[in-house]
Amino acid sequence: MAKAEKVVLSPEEKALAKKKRWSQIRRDKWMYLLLLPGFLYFIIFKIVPMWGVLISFKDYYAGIPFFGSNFFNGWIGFDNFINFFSDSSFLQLLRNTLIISGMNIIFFFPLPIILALLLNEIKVQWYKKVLQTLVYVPHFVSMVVIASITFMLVKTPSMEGMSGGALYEIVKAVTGKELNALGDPIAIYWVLLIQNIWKETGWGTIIFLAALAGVDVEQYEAAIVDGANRFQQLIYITLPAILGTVVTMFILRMGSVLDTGFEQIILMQNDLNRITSETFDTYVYQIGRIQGNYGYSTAVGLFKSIISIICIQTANRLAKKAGQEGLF
Amino acid sequence: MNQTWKKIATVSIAAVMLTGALAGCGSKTASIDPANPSINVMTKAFNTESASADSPVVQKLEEFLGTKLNITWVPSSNYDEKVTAAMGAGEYPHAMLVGSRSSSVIQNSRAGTFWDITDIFSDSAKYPNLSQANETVNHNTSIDGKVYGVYRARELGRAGVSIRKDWLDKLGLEMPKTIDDFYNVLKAFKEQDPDGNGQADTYGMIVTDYIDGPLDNIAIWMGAPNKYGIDENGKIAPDFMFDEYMEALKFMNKCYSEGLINKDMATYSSDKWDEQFLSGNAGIIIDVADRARRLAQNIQSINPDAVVDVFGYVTKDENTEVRTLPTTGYDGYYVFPKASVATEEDLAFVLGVMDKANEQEALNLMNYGIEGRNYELDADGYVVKKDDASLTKEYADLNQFATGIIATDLKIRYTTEVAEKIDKVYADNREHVVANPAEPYVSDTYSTRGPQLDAIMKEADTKFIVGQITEEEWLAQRDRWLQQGGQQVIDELNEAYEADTSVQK
Repeated sequence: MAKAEKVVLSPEEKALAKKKRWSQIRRDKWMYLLLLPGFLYFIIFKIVPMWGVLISFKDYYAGIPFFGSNFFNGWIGFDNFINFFSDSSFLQLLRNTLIISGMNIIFFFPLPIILALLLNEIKVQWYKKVLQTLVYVPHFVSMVVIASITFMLVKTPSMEGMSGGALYEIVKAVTGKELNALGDPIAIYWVLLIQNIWKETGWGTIIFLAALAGVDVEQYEAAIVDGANRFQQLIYITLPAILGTVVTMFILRMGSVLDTGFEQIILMQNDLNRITSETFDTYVYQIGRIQGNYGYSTAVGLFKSIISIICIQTANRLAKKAGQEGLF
Repeated sequence: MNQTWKKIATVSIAAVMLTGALAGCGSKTASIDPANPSINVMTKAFNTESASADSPVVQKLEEFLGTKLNITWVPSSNYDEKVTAAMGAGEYPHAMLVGSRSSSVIQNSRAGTFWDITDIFSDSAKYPNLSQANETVNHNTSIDGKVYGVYRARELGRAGVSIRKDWLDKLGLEMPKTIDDFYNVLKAFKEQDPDGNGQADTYGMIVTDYIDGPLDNIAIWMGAPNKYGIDENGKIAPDFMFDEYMEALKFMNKCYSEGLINKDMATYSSDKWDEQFLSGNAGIIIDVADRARRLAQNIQSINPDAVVDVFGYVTKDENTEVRTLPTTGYDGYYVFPKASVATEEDLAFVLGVMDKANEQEALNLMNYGIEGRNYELDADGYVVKKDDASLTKEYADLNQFATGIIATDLKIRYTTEVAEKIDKVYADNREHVVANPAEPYVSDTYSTRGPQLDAIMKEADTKFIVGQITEEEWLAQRDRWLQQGGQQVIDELNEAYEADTSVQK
């Protein structure tokens, strides 16, 4: 794509453009009014609290007043960041986070798309609706419950002769191997992934189903006239139609590449798999929420945010390079 | 048109800013009104439904204490998180239970968020009950020599081993006296079919992912110190720096590899600790002595022939001295934040209530409810609880507010024999407890990096016991602990230890 040439405007033209813009705003004033609550939401809850990143440059604990007489005490510059990066567990945390997050992007991300496409192909409306509702259900199951179910399915026996979880027994009967899904440091990655897939795949279809609903029916009719079968319709009409949505979702997903959530992991963590399952989020939970060391945990959070911005930007650029619209 | 637009914008922005400002400021809690006092309390809840404000027991307690009680029940599982959140928001009750001494609790204590109440414990005229608080325990809760809270007393000699006495009898074994006896019992429980069903479906001891409990007890028996000890140079050092600790690990490892401990130890949740004891799969749990009472009660409906017994300790061999693992003597303490308890008068009032809550009448209400309603007294003066769920709910968790500095006179008579033995075990244990010399000292490094440091050693211990790492690898993990800040912890504790003139060195 050729870059658009920059247009130079004369002062008169600028004034005119400005006038035009204001008249447009006046014309669409109700639209702008509709925008206002959302706009205010972001100002109040996202932009204003940004002053809070200041505490990452302080030796700051929950409960110590930030303003007032304490304000000038305890500024430690980049010490929190330096401590974090020089911490010997930093690389381990980064590695674990990237593995868990990367596995989710590679294995989990395509699944809602595929499921949405499958659901979309169902022509019996009532059946489709029932199925759609059913696949949303796991999303509302608490992670604690899912962790308990997992434990029951894959637990290893306490002694020889006792039986383990159902899944453990099946694997043993079929392959003869003793699967230690809870205690094995690598198996934990698959456990986390499978839990995620079970819980969120159905819920993730919503946005793609919405995109699919917007595809022009006439295109399918034309394709049928041209002799395209169902599969060809899928490849040449449906997929290109939702590609924009897929790219948008992917860019957004890249923004949370360092987010693994802490609840699921903490529930599944034990001494045997901690070395591979400790991530930034579980680390921050320990230090910030339990220990109350807000300065340090904010520094980790800020670091995560900066990486997220870089990832979003990169993904966005790549999407544009590939001819897609991108996010911004 | 433009005018209206501007108006809308101005009004909405003004409204938003006003709400923001109001939310931001928050009003300072007014001092307690002596005419109509009301105290906000934040404490732990273990039941799904705790005593509510309209419960007759709570109302009677309020009447006795002379104040309204507004209790916020926080589930025990995420209590520490809620304490940190309360401190973060700066919204405090008048009396807040602090569960563990996290770094923010220590920082806030030093910054003067809570009242320093060191002096009240010597004021026996004003606080006849609180002044009887145990000095050692107060010393243990102190930060830089200052006491910030009223502790909740716990039995010092609480450690104990629950064991299936009927299995011992059947196999012709005595109660174990030494580590070797203990090992033999474990082995016999696995190999000699103690339940007599002809199947090899039993093992020795249940250990859970909370390995510290059993491990610390065994380490103490082996001769290791209690968390910290004084090494040959007269310096404070953590227990895992001592050879005896390694002996304990090796003992556990041996038991594990021979199948005397459950194979899924590392992933076995401590919530289910009782499960395989009750189901008759294993015969020993090392934890607290009072667990035996619960086990004895619960096992009767499953196996009426089962007999649960309890003992406090074994020794390394016949000739070594008896050593037992004490608790810290307290389970959290109540602090009084200056943000809510604004004046000295307020503090005196709140402390007065805490003091009065140690009177027998208040203790009975909190522990058992109202006589005649929630419990009856039998001919010998023992409490007989009424089991009706709607009645037990009326005082559920109220005992969390009791600090128990004064012991309750009223006792429950339990139907099982072991319950009576538990008090004897406590008393015997108390004679032999090994003190932790570092208990009162605060290491700044530990208060920030403690959880990560603890995790390193716990992980290494678990992996060693299940045989995933060798002794060399375990030592390498210990070196990692030292490098990660452990050495600083040791240095800081020693500095505080040197500076403490109240201890003889």
